[in-house]
Formats: sequence, C-alpha cells, structure tokens
Amino acid sequence: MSSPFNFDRVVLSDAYDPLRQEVREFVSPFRDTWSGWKIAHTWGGIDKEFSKAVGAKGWIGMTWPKTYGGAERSQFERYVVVEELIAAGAPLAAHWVGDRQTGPLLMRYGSEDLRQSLLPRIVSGELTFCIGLSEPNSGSDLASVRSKAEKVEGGYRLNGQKIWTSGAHVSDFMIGLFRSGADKDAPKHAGLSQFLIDMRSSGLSVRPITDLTGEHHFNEVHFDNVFVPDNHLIGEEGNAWKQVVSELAFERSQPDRFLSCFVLLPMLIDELGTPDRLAKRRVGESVADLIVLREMSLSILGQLEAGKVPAQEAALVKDLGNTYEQKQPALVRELIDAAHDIRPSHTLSDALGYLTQSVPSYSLRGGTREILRGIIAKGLGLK
Amino acid sequence: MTTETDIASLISQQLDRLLAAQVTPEKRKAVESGQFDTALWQECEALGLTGALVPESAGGTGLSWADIAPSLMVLGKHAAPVPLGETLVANHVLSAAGMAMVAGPVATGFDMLTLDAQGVLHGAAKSVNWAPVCPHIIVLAQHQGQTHLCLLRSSDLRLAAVNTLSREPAVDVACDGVKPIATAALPEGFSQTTLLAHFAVLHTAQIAGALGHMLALCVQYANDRVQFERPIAKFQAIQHALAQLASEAAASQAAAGFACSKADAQAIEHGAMVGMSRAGRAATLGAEIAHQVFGAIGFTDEHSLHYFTRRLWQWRASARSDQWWSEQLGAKVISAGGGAVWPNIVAA
Ligand SMILES: Cc1cc2nc3c(=O)[nH]c(=O)nc-3n(C[C@H](O)[C@H](O)[C@H](O)COP(=O)(O)OP(=O)(O)OC[C@H]3O[C@@H](n4cnc5c(N)ncnc54)[C@H](O)[C@@H]3O)c2cc1C
Repeated sequence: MSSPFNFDRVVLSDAYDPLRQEVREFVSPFRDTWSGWKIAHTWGGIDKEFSKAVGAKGWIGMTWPKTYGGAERSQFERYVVVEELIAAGAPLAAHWVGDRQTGPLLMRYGSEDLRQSLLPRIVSGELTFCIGLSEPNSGSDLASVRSKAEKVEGGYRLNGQKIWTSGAHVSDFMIGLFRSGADKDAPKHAGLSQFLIDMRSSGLSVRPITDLTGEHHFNEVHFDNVFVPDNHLIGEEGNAWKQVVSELAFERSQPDRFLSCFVLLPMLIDELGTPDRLAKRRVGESVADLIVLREMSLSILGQLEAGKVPAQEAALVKDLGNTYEQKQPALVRELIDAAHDIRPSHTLSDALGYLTQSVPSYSLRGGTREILRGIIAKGLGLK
Repeated sequence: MTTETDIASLISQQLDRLLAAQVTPEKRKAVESGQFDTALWQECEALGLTGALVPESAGGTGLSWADIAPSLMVLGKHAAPVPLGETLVANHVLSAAGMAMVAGPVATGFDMLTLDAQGVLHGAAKSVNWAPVCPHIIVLAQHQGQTHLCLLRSSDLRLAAVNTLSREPAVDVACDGVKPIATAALPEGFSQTTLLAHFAVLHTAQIAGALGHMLALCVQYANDRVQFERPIAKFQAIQHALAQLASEAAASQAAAGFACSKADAQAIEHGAMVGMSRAGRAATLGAEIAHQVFGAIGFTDEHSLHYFTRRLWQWRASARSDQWWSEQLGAKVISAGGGAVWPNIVAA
C-alpha cells in the first residue's frame, strides 16, 4: 500500500447496466422540461413531485428492509441510481436527507414505532427532513451547540436556535442536535442528544434566509418551549456525538460530493467547436479527475459494506471532490467566452449562472475544507 | 482472492524487503553516475518479476497488471536503482509480439524506426532510459505498412549519453544500418501509442509508490523538526499541506489501480490517459508540497528527497507527458460529444 489510507479497488460490473438504463429512461422526459438553472441545482434542488416519482420507482430507501417499505437492494444499486440522477441534474433535495441520512439513522437508533410510521413514508417520497446542527455560535465547532433539551413529563422541552437549516421551510421533520442533562462540567462532546422534531410543533418557527444566489434555501429555526415526546429521542441520551460522527463516513464520500457541477461538462463539450490543444488537455484532466474520484468513492462504499468506518478516507474524498467541483465553472470560463448574462434560452449560461454563485458553499457545507484537512492530518499522526 | 493475487502479494512483500535492505542513497547516487549494481539486479531478477506479465506458456508467471500493481508501487517507493519495472514491461511487449522474453535488463525505445526489405533498421531512438546498462533494447519499426517489434543487441549500437531529470542512465541510440537479432510483427492495433501506454501505466504506479513514501518522509520530518519551540507538525499550515499531499498520494494510488485494471481489460491506452493525467498532476503538486515542508535541507544533494522528486518529474514526462495523455483523453471525450461523457465515465 502506498499511502496510509485504504483505496482498494471496487468495480461496478455491467450487471448494473439495466438499472442504469432504467434510470436514464425515467429521468429523460423530466429533464427535457427542466431549465439550465434547475438542472444546475441537481441534488440540492427541491421538487416534491419529482421525489414522489422517484419513490414510486422504488428508488428511495431502496436498500432498506422490506418490512419498512424498502426493496432490500444493495448499496451498489443505490449508488448507481444516485449517480445517474445527479449526473442528469435531477432535483433530489426533497428526499435526499431522508434517504441518505435520516432513514439509516432511524434504522440504527430509532424506536420501532418511529421506524414503522416514518420509513415507509420516506420510501414513497412523501416526507422531507432537515438537519439541525449549526447554530449562530456553533459552526465548525459543532460540539459547542447550546440549544437545550430539558426533561419533562413524557418527553423533552426544546429551547434555542438553529441556523443554515437547508429546506426547513419545506420539511416535515428535523433531526436536531441538543444539549441535554444537567452536568455542566461534562466534556462538551458528552451530553448531546438527537431528537426527531415535527416541524409543525407549537413553539417552533422557521424564518427564511435568502442566500447569495437570491434563493430561499436555508433558514433560521427557533425553538420556544417545543415539546417532543420521549420516543422522539434518537438513540441514547448523551450519545449523539458518536451517532453523528458515524454518519459522516457515508455522507462524505457519495457522488454528491464531487458531481455537483457535472452537468456543465457535457454542455461545455457541445459548445467547444473545434477545440485547441489546451481545451483538450483541460477536458481530459477534468474527466481523469472525475474517474479517479469515482474510483475512490466506490472503494469507500465497498469498505462500508464490509463493516469498516473509513472516516479519514471519506474526509479526503470530500475535500478532493469539493475542490474538483469548485473548479468546474472556472473550466467553462477558461475554455469558452462565458459572459455574465444568465439566459433561460441558453442552457449553459443558465446553469453556469447558478453554479458560479453556488460553488463557494461546497467547501463549507458538510464540514469545511479546513476541518476536513484537520481530520486527514489527524489520521496522519500530525495532531 | 485468487492464487495469482496471493503469489503477487507475496512477491511484492519480498521485493519491498529486498529493496528496503539494499537500496541506500549511495546506491541511487551510484546509478546516477553510471555505476550499475549488478548484484542487486540479480537479486531482483531472482524474484521472478521480470516475466510477471509474460504468459506461463511463454515461460513467464502469467500475472495480471492488477496483480503486480503493488510491486510496481514498491519500485517507486524505493526509487529502485534498477530497471525492473521497465524490463518486465519490455518482456510483456515481447510476448505480445510472440517473441521470447530475454534474460537480464531490457530497455525500450519509444520512437518509430523503419525496417527495410533487407531487414536493416533506419532511424534513431531518442532518450532511451536505462539502455547503457541493458544488454538488449527493443524498438518499434515500420515494415511494409505494419508495426514490428525489433530486439537489438546493445553492443551493436552507437549510444550517445543524454542527461535526464532522474539522472538514471539514458542514451540516444543510432540504429541506421543495424540488424535486429529478432523481429516480429505486432498484433493489429498495437501502435506506438500502445507501447507508450505500457510505460505510462508503469510510471503511474511508480509515482503512486513514490508519493506514498514521500508522505511518510514528510510526516516523520514534520514531527521531528522543531521551530518556535514546537514540532512544525503542530502548525496548521503544515498539517493542511500534508493533508493535501496525502490526498494526492491516495488519488495517484487509485489512478494506478484504475490504469492497471484497464491494461488488463485490453484498454491500456485509456488506462494510461486517465492514470498519467491524474498521477502526473499528483506528482507535480506532491513534489511542491514535500519540498516546502522540508525547507532548505530538502533542497540539498545530501538529503534523499530529491531522488524521489526528480523521479516524479521524470516519470510524469518520459513516456510522453502527463499533459499529452490528458490531451489524448480530452480529444477522445470531446469527439464523442457531450451526451457520451457520462456513459463513458461509468462504463465498467
Ligand atoms: C449552503 C449551505 C447549507 C447548509 N445547510 C446546513 C444544514 O442543513 N444544517 C446545518 O446544521 N448546517 C448547515 N450548513 C452550515 C454548515 O454546516 C456550516 O457552514 C459549517 O459547519 C461551517 O460553520 P460556519 O459557517 O459557522 O463557519 P465557521 O465555523 O465560523 O468557520 C469560518 C471559517 O473558519 C474556518 N475555521 C473554523 N474553525 C477552524 C479551525 N479549527 N481551524 C481552521 N479553520 C477553522 C472554517 O474552515 C471557515 O473557513 C449549511 C451551510 C451552507 C453554506
């Protein structure tokens, strides 16, 4: 092995080709109706109707047990579906959190009645979830969150504030991180608990934050004596830090971490005309990078399937992947004279207009570049 | 795991132990000034790797590129002062032409010569790495509209020394009027680019091995070197630089795995394009970071870092450049059109 990290090769055989084909045929008529601006959102775009259509195909929660509405298909089949949808620019945000994070979390730590009532509705594409981690004074230093859960008769009472909560305004539930228990001297990673919170609870209010692109994507969420019943505590009280960290290896190595700008590449190629040597070189580099990132991402999936938790490797793939994605709009600008105007009639300008504005967030969301490099450095024995 | 893979991993471990015990900076310096360590070569040859890619029916071990990828990385890891990788690839190419593998180290010329009706060569092979220490050289030649492989005896040739970045022995070879000791037509579709691709895949794996080792050297040094009363490893700028070096090492390792598997799947040129494009840029950034972390000591002749960085610069450029391979890949992707990009990326 030539690095301290494991990237043994895992290949998706052509046995998955029929599934790929099915996804392509499914998405193609939708795609014909989408603007460049919409395609550019890909997995970050919210479209409830589309999510329900994906659910109807059996492609949400597809690896989950049949008792919960899943299809008991493999992680590799899920990977094929996800990468095909993202490459096509499909809007996945209305089911993305449920499929990628909340479902698996409930399966691992949720109570049986929660699983039975929620998982089948995630599978059908009906339910949308949001993630309440960040607070005004807790960003990278997540363990410092202050929002509080206080034990009361039959449940907990929540107070505090979350911020940057993507999709809170369209979500049915939040998985929120709160400080519980009275022990003020406990280390800050202890005493954190995760709750499932109904977004219609009284005392809970959502306030929009318009982002740089001019859209309403993330929010402030305020908790004023919000009551959650006991069975909405996810996992053990005080154990949330471990629960959150174990999700990350999965979250950080998926195709969404390097394909966010993929839709630009085919559009760019079709506008190149007669490419010169430099254009060929840059396009070649971009494709080579992508192929290798995908190799690394698949390797991590294989390791997760084998029961390992390759957290360092996942941080590394996210950092390389985000850096790669962020270069894509610049690549377009390097190879064609892309102007500043954003025209729905011109798909590339429409997509580029959105992505130029959205890429700065890629190395922030899901763990900043600096935090990821810190994790890698720790794995190297430097900290 | 197949038995072949077991054998291959055993061989790579043996090779690693052998090179760890034998290769010193002095030996690298020696080969760079023209002294070849014949004893080390013989020990390497005894491991049986020179015929690794040659089918068993032709006297080789019949392993795959994927099987021997770890061994190729080990060669890079030690900056081995012997042309073992180059020889095993040359023997593989000989077997592709239906020719017997040869004993001893073999060098390969990448230029296309011509072979006339009398079986005499015309032209020159430029910058042939390792040729001065190899009794045999293989070159490509056009003959009656077909690409042939020619095996030459070095003592029949005029060699003119060339300086290279790695300083490993290299020469221009004048072949005018020379008769090969054996010649055979290469199979249909085996072009000059195919030959280059074999070496680009080899170099991709060597780069991955070297970067992994440089990462280890850097981590060790960062933990040992003290400035401002603490190990420089405690500075976040150094930590993040090394995290990036680790990422490049890991990416080149994945690139090498991909390239080797494509080589096994009759798509060695595609493997070379992707592998060398990615690993070449990893080599570039990796060398920059390693030198930054080592400070002035890493810029000296005495320190061994340069044996690795100069080889990275050599390998990214010696069977065409990483840039050239990127260009081939880009040309292929662009000519297939935007709609084919994704299907081609995920094609197994
Ligand atoms: C589009 C978008 C969507 C998001 N969606 C959600 C969501 O749904 N739910 C949610 O909970 N959060 C969400 N976030 C928030 C995201 O998780 C945070 O932005 C992230 O954790 C960083 O926190 P911060 O923005 O407070 O920056 P800070 O932590 O204040 O960091 C500012 C800068 O300082 C650097 N820095 C901080 N600490 C260190 C350190 N120790 N060493 C070196 N540098 C450091 C950071 O890397 C960064 O460059 C979203 C963010 C974005 C941009």
